[in-house]
Amino acid sequence: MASKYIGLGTVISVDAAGGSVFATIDLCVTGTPPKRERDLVDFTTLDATLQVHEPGIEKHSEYSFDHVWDPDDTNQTALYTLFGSKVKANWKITYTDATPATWTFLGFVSGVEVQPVEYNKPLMRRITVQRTGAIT
Amino acid sequence: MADVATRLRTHLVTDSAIAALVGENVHQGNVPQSIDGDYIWFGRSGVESLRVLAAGAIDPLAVRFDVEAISHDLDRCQQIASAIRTRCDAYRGTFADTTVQGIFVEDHSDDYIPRGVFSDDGPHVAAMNVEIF
Repeated sequence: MASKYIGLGTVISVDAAGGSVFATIDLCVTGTPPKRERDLVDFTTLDATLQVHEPGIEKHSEYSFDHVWDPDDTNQTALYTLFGSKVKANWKITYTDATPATWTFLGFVSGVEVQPVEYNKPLMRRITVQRTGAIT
Repeated sequence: MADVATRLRTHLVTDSAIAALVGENVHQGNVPQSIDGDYIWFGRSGVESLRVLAAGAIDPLAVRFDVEAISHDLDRCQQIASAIRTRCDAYRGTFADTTVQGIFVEDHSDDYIPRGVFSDDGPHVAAMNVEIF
């Protein structure tokens, strides 16, 4: 029977050089892993009574996560550098199951979005990554 | 190392305006019976935790205190409350032996029940919520 897991313990990390030496991004609060979705090729014929689709290629998808922003933190600063350099970095999500599953994929930073700054809330930032490779 | 309550007391008693009004009579939890006059009572009311995906406890984001200005004279009570507000609200910087990112003061709502009155002769109380980041 499947076990139940919560998000606590999930690790988001990146190798800016696209390799496999991953640096953990601290103080991540939420993350939305990239979706896996196929293109749908329409094979509906004139005499069909139901629309017919065949599986096409896997579609591009987006990955985003929110973290508490420390402008002085080296690993967080590196994300800003990745935005400027347009480099395809290697991203890794390590889940919380007993033998932690990992999702690894290449992607470039397309968005660095500081969230509304409020006087009594932590500084937050949203990073958006465009996936450019398969999830392995 | 002092805890945040001790530091709050230090922050209050080292303010000249507060000292002029209540002297050293700033007390957490219990108020000495020997006090015969105005005082400030405070007690910890909660913590705001910052929870992130990574496992492991991290320092609280904020600690909240109930702070009460107590006096038998209404004007004096308001003066003490005003001094606390002036000292603490929107303050950032040195906080006893450390620093804080921000302190914010809000009035308590009308249904707040004061906790720092230990006599039955009906002193005036101005109660505030003080949040320390």
